[in-house]
Amino acid sequence: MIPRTDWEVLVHDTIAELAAGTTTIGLYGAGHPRAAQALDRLEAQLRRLFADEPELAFVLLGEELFVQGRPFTRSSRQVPAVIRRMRRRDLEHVIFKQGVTREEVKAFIEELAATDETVVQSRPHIQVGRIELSERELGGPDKSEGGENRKKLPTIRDRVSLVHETFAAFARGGGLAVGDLETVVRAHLECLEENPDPLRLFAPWEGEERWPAVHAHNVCVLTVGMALLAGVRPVLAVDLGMGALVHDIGKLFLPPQVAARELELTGDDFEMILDHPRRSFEELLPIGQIAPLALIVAAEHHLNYNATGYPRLSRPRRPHPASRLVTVADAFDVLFTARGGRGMMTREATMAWLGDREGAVLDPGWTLALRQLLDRGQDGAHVQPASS
Amino acid sequence: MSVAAPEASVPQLLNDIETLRRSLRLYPEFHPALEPARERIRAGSAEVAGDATDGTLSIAPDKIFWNGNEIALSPQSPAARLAQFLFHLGVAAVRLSFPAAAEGLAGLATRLAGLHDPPGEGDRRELFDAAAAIDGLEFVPIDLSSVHLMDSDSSSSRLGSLMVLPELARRLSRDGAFPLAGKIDAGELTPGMLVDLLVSASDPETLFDHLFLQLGEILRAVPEAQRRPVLAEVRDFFLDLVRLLDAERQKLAIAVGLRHLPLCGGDEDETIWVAAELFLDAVEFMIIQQAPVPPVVHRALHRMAAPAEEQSPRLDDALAARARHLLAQLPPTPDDEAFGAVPEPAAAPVDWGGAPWVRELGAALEEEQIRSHLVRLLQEAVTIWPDQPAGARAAVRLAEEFANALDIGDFAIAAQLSAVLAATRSAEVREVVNGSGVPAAIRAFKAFDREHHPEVMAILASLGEGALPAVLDALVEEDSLAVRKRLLEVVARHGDRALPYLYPLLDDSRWYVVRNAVFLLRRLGDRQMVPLVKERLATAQPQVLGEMLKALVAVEDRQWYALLVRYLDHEDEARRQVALDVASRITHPRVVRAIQQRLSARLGMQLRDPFSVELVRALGRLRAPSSLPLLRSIVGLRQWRFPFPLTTVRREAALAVANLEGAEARKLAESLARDRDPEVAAAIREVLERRPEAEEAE
Repeated sequence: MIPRTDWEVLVHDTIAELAAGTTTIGLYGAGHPRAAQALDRLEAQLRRLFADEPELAFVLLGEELFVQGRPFTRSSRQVPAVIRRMRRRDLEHVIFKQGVTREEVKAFIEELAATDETVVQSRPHIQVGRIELSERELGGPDKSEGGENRKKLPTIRDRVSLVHETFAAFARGGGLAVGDLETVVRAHLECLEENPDPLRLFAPWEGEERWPAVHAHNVCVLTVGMALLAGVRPVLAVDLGMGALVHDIGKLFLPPQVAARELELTGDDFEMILDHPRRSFEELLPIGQIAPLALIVAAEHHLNYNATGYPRLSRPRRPHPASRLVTVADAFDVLFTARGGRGMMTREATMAWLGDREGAVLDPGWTLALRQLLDRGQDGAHVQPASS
Repeated sequence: MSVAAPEASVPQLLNDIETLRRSLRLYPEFHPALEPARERIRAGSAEVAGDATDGTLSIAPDKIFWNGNEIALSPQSPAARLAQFLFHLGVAAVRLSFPAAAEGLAGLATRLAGLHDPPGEGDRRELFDAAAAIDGLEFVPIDLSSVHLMDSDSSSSRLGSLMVLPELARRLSRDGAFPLAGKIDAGELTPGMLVDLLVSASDPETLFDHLFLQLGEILRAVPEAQRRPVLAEVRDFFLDLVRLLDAERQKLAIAVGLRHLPLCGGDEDETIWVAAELFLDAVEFMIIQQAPVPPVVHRALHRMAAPAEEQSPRLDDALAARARHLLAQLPPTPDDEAFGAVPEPAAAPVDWGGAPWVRELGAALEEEQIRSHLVRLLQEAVTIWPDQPAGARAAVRLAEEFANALDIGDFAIAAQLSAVLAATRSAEVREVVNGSGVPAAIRAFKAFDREHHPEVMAILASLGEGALPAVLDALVEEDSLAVRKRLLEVVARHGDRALPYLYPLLDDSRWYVVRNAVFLLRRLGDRQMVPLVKERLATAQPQVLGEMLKALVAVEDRQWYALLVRYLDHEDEARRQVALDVASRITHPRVVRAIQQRLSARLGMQLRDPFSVELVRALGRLRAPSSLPLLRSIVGLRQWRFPFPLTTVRREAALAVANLEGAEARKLAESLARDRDPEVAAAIREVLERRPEAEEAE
């Protein structure tokens, strides 16, 4: 075990209590006795820390969490959970200051753990918010990327490009820029708030090279869009969208010749040959910042509604409902964008394909929902394959 | 001197440093491979330097920069590992002064080899404290002072801090063409600022004209290398502006924008591309907004979507494909009458409220449901992919979830997972269980009510033999006596399987580790420890000696009595006291006799010795009726015959009598309640008064 300084132990324990407190309140609610115990512990930990420090500052910069200006991401098991919580609430910095009261801590943790639209507020002794880099000298990356740290992603093409770049960096062996992918999902959420029809936000077929990004983008849009139409809270829809974005990430590691052949394969062979859900799951598992729901979706999106499919489970069961939604969106996008977009499949054939698999491969509820959405699109004449 | 491109020489130099660092961790300082490695670093440093006298290596978690230019590194290369190591030490940049840096870099590898990996705060301090002593290198720590913390209330993105807009603001302000000139200060400008002006302007076209003219000039003046980021900013600005305008002005903005950022016929290819991107962004925006698209835009889009051979000048393929995609989303012909109408807010295209699949999804997205589903999936993954990385990683994640469950007091999940983890042979899983799970369980002892402690103990025990080293380590470090007791209990539950882990602890330099080990060996009734314990009796610390004697008694070693007596007579008072403490808990008649004999031998002047008082107390604890005559003789002693006070020894003897069973002892005790020494009498009265209560309670 690596020896830690007293300061590190204090910070580590505070992070552990912060993570445990948020999870406890998220699971049991703030009124549960265990929540009160968790808050007691966090409060005590902060008191201990403030004996020597005037404040405790967490800053999230890219994929790194800095505590008091020191990189801390790999120092503590609970850090990825804290990062996930901060991202979910759109926070890039949290500063606890000396004098923080129990009421402030309680209210902050409640807001951090919430899954509704509650905004995490700053308080006299807890400052929260986002960050901006005014100087571009922190080692160079911001300068080299032209300030892309604050990506606004106004267009579909920007989003696809960001997904493409993120995937490419990951496939080369770099880390997965989870924050960037979440920015894409949030950009979709923003657009869907203005216009809830997800099919308007589909990206077109842009060739083999960008297909993984286009597909991830479209599955994400459709999944998030349908989830919002179903009344899912936006905070939860972000995790769903992340799952949809990374569901096929295992395919990035396929040999190019197999990847190229993938779209030529049909029917059941299509996914049986390629066990990319396993690879997606495998690649995502070590990334602590990835939401658990995204892991589930990546592993299960080819597990059929009737419990067949892949992976083959020793005790067959239905996939998680989120996985079923992504499965429907996934199948539709392959047919609509990859095949339809190149004139290889008609709209009628797409509908027939979905209808054939409804209740067996595909969740009948979500398939029906998609059909209703497509029917609406037909009325409005805006939901058409790009080749039409 | 040959000068190599930094793209090749810098990674090579870092590879060499990392190789030396790792070698130094494996081999002794005098290993023959080390000097050649140092020589390679010196040569590499000279190659990187070329003719320069200095250079800066900047470090990000997954990137490095040499003098501001990114250097590509393979993520698995030693250089990348070194960069990550330095980053986690809090180093943002290293400034190198040549040629001194050649020696300094070799020295750096040595310094780094002595630090922990991954490094902690102590390592960071050590490196920065030693920085001055490393020749030719200056370390720049990570500094977040240029990170502006924005309060949640004002966290919406501000365009004012970007590059193009200050320049645009400066130009507009300089020209005085805008009434806002006085307000635009410090180079700040936002689309919202312009919208107010444009909305109230009687001739917005002129304003747009001027605005986009300036934007076009800025774009043309930007150096090639900065064009992409500048374009991104212009696009952001353009779209923000368009979004804030009414439909009529949106149309005007796009038309005027295209005039100054021409789609075709520009003098630079890049300008054409810029304009096309802007144009398509705007069209996409109008589609998303369901805004009517003007006929002129339709026509332009058709030209862009045309086959390549019909385009002049030829457009980029990607742009053409995007134009076609957008065109497919537009109605076939624009409705001129509808054009200009304010779009109605979009309505939800479907209504699925209350559908069963919707309800099912909503429920399944609750945090607890997701967590339990993930745990189930991880367990399945371990089973269905046992020999693949997916299975191994799932097992590691299960171990993390196990620790998380303990953190939040979810003992049901923790118990479920502990059995699975115990069956896993993976070293990595074991490391996570021992490094995170066991400490989490120990925290749980302190964090949760006592009623949960048996659950936590059961969980720790069910982790199996593999967790024993971590539990024993925790036992050593733990301050809380209550937690230590529970951990001892956990180890004891492992039975004989714990023995191989306990024997080595008998030679630990810390007495309390040895004591715990002997205690556990005794609890486990291990007879094989006897020779090991006997070998160490002579050198054992007094605190350990007691535990060892107890252990020999517990396993009924044939020499236990002889050894106990030997230490009862030991010349070292501490050891003698420890032996008596052990003996006072053994009701064996031989032990009682041995104590009585030693006390009898001390009747006289030796009674003033504290050990004599301890012998009396020991007889009191043993409550053997055969001790009554000896105790009676002590309480019967007359003070005048002794030159030291008898109160203490008489009081302890009286209390020992009060502890004895039988009428004779009781009678004596009652008489002692009226003893001439008030201290003795008071002590006995107190005991006698408590006795009926104790008897009733029994």
